[in-house]
Amino acid sequence: MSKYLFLFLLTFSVNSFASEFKSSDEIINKLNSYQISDITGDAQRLKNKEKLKIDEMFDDLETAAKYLEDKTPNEEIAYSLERVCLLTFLHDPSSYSAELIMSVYDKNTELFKKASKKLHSYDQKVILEVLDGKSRALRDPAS
Amino acid sequence: MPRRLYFYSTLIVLFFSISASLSAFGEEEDDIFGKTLERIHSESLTRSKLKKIPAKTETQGTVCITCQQGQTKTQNQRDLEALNASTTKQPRKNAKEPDCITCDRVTVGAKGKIIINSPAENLWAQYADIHAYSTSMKTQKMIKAAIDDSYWVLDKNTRRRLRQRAPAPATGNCLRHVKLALQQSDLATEYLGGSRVNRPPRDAINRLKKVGFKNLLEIPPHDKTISNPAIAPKGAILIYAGGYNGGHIEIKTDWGTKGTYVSDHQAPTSIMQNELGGRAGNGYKLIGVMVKPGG
Repeated sequence: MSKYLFLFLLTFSVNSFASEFKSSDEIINKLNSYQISDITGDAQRLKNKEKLKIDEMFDDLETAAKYLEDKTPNEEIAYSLERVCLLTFLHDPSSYSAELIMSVYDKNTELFKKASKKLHSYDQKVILEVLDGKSRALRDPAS
Repeated sequence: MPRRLYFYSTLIVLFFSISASLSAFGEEEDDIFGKTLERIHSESLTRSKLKKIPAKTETQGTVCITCQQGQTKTQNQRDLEALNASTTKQPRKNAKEPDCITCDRVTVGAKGKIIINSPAENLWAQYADIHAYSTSMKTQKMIKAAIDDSYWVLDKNTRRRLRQRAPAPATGNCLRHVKLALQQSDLATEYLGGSRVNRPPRDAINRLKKVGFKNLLEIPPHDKTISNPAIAPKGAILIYAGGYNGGHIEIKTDWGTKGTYVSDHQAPTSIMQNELGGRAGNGYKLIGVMVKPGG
């Protein structure tokens, strides 16, 4: 009996720690809390063997993309996703973050393009080129 | 008699008729002159009005039509100009752009590939004289000459190209290749002396200093900044102590980890061992990062 209770408690505790977004506002607030200093501070976190902020960003992007699978995102969410992707590009040349949000981007391309107008013109160019490039590469791997 | 009477009476009639016509003409003449005077007077009034009207338009209009070039403007004109300037619709300024995240840090390559810009270039961009050296034509020429010659075996005395070879491995003639590249690019006016980089100790450093080079490892804060060859600026001549052949000298061809290190051969990493694997082990020590500020 105690064995089952232990397993139940373990499962419950794991679920409680997994970050899941419950609303669009929650996604926006979490994603907008990230700053450039989080990325630049990762070098120190790596030395101190702490969890990296860039990994946290990847987790949040993945969770947000899952949440938005069956929902229609608004412009504010699209902007927040693009902004966090740009932050990860500073240390991640593989642009993994773009892959994480690709399912959302493919369904709402126009919305993402509209939302990117809120970004700096250079950032806008970067994010749209990367997302378009990734989308094309996933659709046609031979190209 | 009657003939005389007739003559005088005719004369009298003629006189009266003439005087009558003359008087009529005088009246008419007075009338004509009066009208003319009146017209002239009215015209002069009109002219004065005309003179005044433009003066009014000068103060009321936006453009001064009648002002002569160089003519000073009246206070009214200046006030109106100021008023017009304040009320004229100004071109709408662009709203302030949000802060840029990736500017100077990231470039997008082909097919949306992310290229993270080298931090080394950003680091040296704040030191104008060193950045000027790295981007000068002479430095570019030196790098090109060194890369071209790295494919050749050079004659010991004449430095002529003897035979072509692969740009690796080393031939033990690093100093000869670097000195020739310096001479070809006019960074050194003549072919520098010396046969070993660090024998006598710091020989190459001292010779380069004589032609205007400075050792960044002796200048604060660069001495603390340059912890490894990858941080050295583009075009820097890197001098090492150690090794079996009296040290080593090589030219850095690009910023950060982007370029190669070239002397008598070309390599993707410096001769010192680094976190990426290195080439020659622990035997070498970086003792000189030579640049010629301002080129």
